[in-house]
Amino acid sequence: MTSAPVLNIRGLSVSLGRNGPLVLQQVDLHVAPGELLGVVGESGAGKSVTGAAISGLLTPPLVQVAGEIWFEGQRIDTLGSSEMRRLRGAGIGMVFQDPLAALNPVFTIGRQLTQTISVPHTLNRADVQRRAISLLSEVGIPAPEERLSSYPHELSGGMRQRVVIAMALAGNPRLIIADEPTTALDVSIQAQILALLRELTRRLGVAILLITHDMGVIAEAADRVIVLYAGRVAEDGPAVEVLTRPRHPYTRGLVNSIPEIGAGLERLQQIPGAMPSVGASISGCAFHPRCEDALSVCSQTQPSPTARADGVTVACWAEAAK
Amino acid sequence: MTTALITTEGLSHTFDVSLPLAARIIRQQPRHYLHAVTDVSFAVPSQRTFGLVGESGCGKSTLARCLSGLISPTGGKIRFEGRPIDLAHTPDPAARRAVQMVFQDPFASLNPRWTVGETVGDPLLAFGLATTRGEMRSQVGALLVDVGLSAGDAIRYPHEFSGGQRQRIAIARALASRPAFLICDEPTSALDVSVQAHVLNLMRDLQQEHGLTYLFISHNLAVVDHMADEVGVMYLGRMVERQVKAHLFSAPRHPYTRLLIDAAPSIKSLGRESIPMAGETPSSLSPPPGCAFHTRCPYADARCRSEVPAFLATDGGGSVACHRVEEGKI
Repeated sequence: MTSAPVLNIRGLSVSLGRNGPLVLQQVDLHVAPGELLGVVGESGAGKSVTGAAISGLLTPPLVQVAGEIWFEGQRIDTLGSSEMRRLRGAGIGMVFQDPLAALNPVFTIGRQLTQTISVPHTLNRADVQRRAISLLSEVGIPAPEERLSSYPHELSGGMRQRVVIAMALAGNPRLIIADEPTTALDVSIQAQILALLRELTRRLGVAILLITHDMGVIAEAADRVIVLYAGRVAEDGPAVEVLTRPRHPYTRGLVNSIPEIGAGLERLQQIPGAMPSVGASISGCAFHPRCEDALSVCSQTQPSPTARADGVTVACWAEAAK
Repeated sequence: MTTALITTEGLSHTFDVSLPLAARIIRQQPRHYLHAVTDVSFAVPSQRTFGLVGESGCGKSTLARCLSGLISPTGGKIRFEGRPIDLAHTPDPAARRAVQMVFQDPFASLNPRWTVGETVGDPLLAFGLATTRGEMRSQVGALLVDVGLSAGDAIRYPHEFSGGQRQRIAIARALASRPAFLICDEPTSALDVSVQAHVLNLMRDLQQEHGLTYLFISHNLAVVDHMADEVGVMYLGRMVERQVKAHLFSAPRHPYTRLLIDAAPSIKSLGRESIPMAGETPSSLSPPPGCAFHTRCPYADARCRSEVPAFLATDGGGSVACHRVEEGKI
């Protein structure tokens, strides 16, 4: 990954209200062209807030309080709403969890897709139509001409998600933010959608930020992964490294608590306790009350992310002491 | 082998999804039926876990609802300890007390206006297991401690709890009537993985403590592998394969089971370049003729397209419904 990152985030913090509790703290993140970056964490870890912050969709009471977001060398967190809206169509595409909610039920697929395509006002009607058909076939929808006149309810969940991906591709984006794109789908369809996303990164060189709670999805699709815990980056590195040799105790606990086919375990390993709620004041590392390796320093000072020689960045005192 | 606690014989459930009479006459359309569950037979031995897997629309939840008596099967029989039961139509307090259910979404399955104590204590009063308020309170307290909460939680409301804790409350409610058979319909699919590990471990502990028999339904193969002793795979309303767990996951016979195991995302699938199963599940309103899976099956031939395969026993004690397997081709 020598090319300049499409997206570069430095020290992003988001709070609930101006002076409220922080839901995201000091997050650093970058995505290269053609890279599929997985952002993984449990409910409330700050995954979706990260996605919303990038696309400028933070709505009150969520407020960005610190940090910079750079997209293709341009700082975008300071952009006005109209500039941001232009960027969302053309530079950054979005794919959401529930394709039925992301599509308008009263308009045909064709109408919704052509509307997205014709926003820059550079194409005539026939070209728009052609482009819509080519986008639908790009995402693997059979008989795209006929599908243009279908309503969302006439398509299956997998086909709807393909339509949403086609809409995200309409403006030739360099970055797609996919927030739990396969959570609402069956496993065989999930495999198809993940394969499609992978293919898009290779064929079009588009970067994808894949937000998910499922480590299996990360293993299947991601080049690199960022593990979030209580609004902070716990671990960041190549998916192979992070999943096979997790350095952070939280990542290790998470990976070990996943049931695997053929494991034949009597009991699953479990991390004691639960993730602290937003605004809970825990001194030092937020994970230390649940951590088996906790040292005395862990309850006093927040560990800062430290890059290791193998390309993994870990924020953990116990790991740094090794 | 212990005797079966719950048996189904050719269980079927058909929903009438016809248009209203007038619309049928005007549009000259016949009645339409949705065959949600067709001819499903299996037995669950006492204190064992039968796992049921399949994708959306395969009939898992309809089967669970038939067994729990929320709906009545339109064909076939359900036997509890050898005697036929029909909980939806015939009052049968003994079986009603013995067969309980845990639902998928703990946010929807608990009454937000009831305290946890009322929710968990209601079955105790309904079945006369507690006669006084004090007795009920102490039993509710014991149940909550059993599922890893504290007795003091009885006075709180569901919204004060996290998803995992709510599922524990739902389990406590199901256990209140001291059931023998617990139907768990996707009990952990709404939960985070670390919370899921807590709940699955709890369910295994409770099974041993209380001698429970489980029907464990999930779309997640790894979870079913972890929980079940025997597993049934459903596709478009029919059971296509039933095997003891060790056989099903190490040597799946039915092509659908194989593809399903391949498609399951797992940490072990790191970096693999798999070719996902093509196509989608056909609509259960108009299932394909013959073997319902033939539209996606790489081994299908003319016989598969016309003749419904019988559910035949295989060596190893399981059964599979596939012409190709029967012919010894795969």
